[in-house]
Amino acid sequence: MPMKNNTKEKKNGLWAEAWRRLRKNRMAMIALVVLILMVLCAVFAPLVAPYDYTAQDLENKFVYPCLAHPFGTDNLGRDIFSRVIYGSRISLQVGLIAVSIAVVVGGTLGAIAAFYPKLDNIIMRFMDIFMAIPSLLMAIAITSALGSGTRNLMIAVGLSSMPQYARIMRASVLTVKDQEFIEAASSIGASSFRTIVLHILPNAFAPLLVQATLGVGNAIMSAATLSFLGLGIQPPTPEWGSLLSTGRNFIRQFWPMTIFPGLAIMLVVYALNILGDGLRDALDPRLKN
Amino acid sequence: MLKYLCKRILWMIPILLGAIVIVFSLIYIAPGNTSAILLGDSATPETIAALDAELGLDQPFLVQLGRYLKNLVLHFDLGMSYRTRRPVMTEILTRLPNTLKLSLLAIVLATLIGVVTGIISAVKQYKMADTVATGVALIGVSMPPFWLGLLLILAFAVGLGWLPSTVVKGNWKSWIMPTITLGTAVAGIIMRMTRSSMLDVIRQDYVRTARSKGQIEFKVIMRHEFRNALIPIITVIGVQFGSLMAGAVLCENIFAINGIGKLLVDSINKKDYPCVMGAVIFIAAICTVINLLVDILYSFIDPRIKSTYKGVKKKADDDESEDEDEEDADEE
Amino acid sequence: MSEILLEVKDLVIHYFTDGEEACAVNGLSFDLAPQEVIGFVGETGAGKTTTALGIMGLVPNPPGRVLNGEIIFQGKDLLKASEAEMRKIRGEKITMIFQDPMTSLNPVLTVGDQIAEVVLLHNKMSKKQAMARAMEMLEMVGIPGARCSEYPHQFSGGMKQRVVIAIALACNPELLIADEPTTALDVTIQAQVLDLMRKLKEDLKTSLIMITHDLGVVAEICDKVAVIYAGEVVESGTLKDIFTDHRHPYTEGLFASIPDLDEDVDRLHVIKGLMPSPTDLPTGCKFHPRCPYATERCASERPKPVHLSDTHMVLCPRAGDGGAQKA
Repeated sequence: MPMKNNTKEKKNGLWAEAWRRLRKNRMAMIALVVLILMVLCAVFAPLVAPYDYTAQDLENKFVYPCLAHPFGTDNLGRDIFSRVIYGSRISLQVGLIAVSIAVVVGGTLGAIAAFYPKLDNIIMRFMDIFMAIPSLLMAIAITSALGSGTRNLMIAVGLSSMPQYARIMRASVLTVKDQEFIEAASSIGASSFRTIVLHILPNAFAPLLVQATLGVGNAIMSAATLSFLGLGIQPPTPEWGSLLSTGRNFIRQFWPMTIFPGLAIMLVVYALNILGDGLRDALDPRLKN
Repeated sequence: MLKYLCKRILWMIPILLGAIVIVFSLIYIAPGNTSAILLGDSATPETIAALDAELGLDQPFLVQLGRYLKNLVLHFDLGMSYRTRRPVMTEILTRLPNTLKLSLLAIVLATLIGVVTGIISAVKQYKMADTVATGVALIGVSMPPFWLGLLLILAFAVGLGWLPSTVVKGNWKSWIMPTITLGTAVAGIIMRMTRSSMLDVIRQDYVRTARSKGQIEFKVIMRHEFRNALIPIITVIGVQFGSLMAGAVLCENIFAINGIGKLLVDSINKKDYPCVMGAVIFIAAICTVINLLVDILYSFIDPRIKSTYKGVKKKADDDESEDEDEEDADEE
Repeated sequence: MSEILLEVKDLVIHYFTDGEEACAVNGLSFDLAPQEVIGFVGETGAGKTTTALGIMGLVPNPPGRVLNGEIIFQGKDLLKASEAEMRKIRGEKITMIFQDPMTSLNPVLTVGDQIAEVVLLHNKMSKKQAMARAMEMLEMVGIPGARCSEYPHQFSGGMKQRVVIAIALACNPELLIADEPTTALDVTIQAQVLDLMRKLKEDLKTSLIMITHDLGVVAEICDKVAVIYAGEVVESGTLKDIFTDHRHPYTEGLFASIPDLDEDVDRLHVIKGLMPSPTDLPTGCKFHPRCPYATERCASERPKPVHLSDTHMVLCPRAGDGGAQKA
């Protein structure tokens, strides 16, 4: 099957080329390194964090940042640095899983819409309705229906951002479907399932990857927002949003509780945004001006 | 044009109905027995059953939904707040001015800053100003709005003592921090869209034609580049107005503004579901109307869109075929 | 020699991108008298458009930069003129018609507005008067003045090019630069537009630089011809000089590639090879890799212009001794 080999080579070439372009983008590479470091911190939190994040020390509460406590200690004398590190576990996890939910649900619906014109109208009109409600409000509505908690938070954030992925998936499948090599593949008798797996999915992957990278940032932000409002993860779980929600109560006396969890959110989201922009430029050089 | 408008307005109805059904269903499956919560200590199986009957909670889902829709469509009635025993519509309308004021202030600020910096950034592409502006815009987009609000309070209320940390009636200064809190992220988004949209048109041939007429640079930018870059910018402003109304939820909470957002969060915490539903539906309706306005605005900006709506295209007199690409009027 | 409207001397324009230097125009010279028509002939990428943009002062910078030369227009070096002075000249004294009429008009302004814009910029008059002038110009290019309030998308390609011509001529320019004004159009429309341009040029007493790769267009409208290759004029002369007595091997190749209706040939003659990349120009004579008569000297030494007459110049050492034609 020479054709299969060809497209495969072409695909590998595309990714190699994209990676080469991405490597040239200094900001994106820095962002990637920062993200990898943060993920490592989250995975190896017990090794990185100097204290147990639940350990209270009422003798030493409201300690300002010093060598022993780089971010200070909170109202119960817990080490803020350790809490932020452990918080990254939850926040990153929520972000990733929420986006996975959105990609799987949205992507599937989008692909179905593109493949079966009969269902197209129904699915996409449903998405229109879904999108009439701003995603943060939708997430709030879903959490109030499901109740608070980590799992429900992930579902709420994931579902509320799902229509974007459906649209992207549908659009890229439709474009690829019309392309000649797909016609060629079906004309030589490749089954439609083969066609999908071999040709369409890899092509739809690039725009989804870009959107998902940016989406993880948004998801982390939405999750933190809901937790901040008291609708997501509740204290004492050290999620970044709930850390801020606690910190807010002490904003007049003690600033470190407000500053550091927010900085952590901003750093991750900023890095994800830069990486997402970089990926978009690298994967589709035409878009770059 | 009129026909398109009618079609567009009619299309709003199923969208809104759909949104109401989704929200209603979500609230319907919410945990907890409403009557029990409302009655608190005086709850006995008998009183709960009586209240269920009074509120109509004992009826099947479809009956409840039908009644809700009927009241909303016929009487503009969103039901009764469990908490205050006043109509939800009244609760919302009394708070609407605050939310609208906040959202409008924020969107105006964001549009001004976003569009101006976006244009400058595109015109000075790859120069210092561009690098700084895009960097700052991305920070604005990446900063959690509620954190920005807290930082502002920390700096200007706690630290410097220049501004009050909560909104006080009749004090315009107290609106400064909420406006910035809500507007910053949107300003960043508008800036990024303005920049990329401007970069798309900046190398178009008609821009060169304008220069070849001896037009001054400022007018080349505004009249020829910006006007053509406007559609995606307007779109993003419209979409962002929606997320801004949602963002107001946070902002109102931080700065203790008595708006729809605060009503929403308070109602969730008190399980006042009619209020929750009403607030979400109300904001969704506003967003839908704004989307419609944006769509109508398009046709004033781009004459090509208007003529596709009209459905009549002036036949060109020359004996050659029309081969220009039609603008897609679809609002993807 | 009559008076001179425009004289371009030794113009050098390079583009700098990604650390590469593209030598688009390399020491190009020519002159033009009032009411004269010069044709720029050459392949795509020969530097014709860049030269035109150079005269207009519109070379996009970055990446383009004018490195050397003089562009003397009515006794004044345009390269030394300030941006404000150039703005006064652009649109009033020198105007330009771009290649693709489809994209040359602003889609969100009415054609009337777009013509009136240039009128208002260079004349002291009210908006109303400018609009009246715009209608007059539309009539002049054969479009009903009432269509003034229509938008470009309501016109066909040929009509759009007429509008572009109306914009270019609205201020009675001294010099009009037409960059392949007919290439993007259908063949039947091409003739109409060309006729229109010739008529208007006569009526308005405008000089014209006609950029084209179509020798037929040149024969129809031009007084003089400059054959351009890799950013240089390789041969120039009157229409007669070039059409009946061309000496440069490249010009020879251009003429040979026109199919002759009287002769039955199996294949069209083509010039072998491709135009060199402007980032990697050959040494010596830039044409030598494609030249059938190239010697070793051609590869190492830049040829000097050979003047066969007052009007006829050839950039090839062979031109002096007999010429390409007899070889």
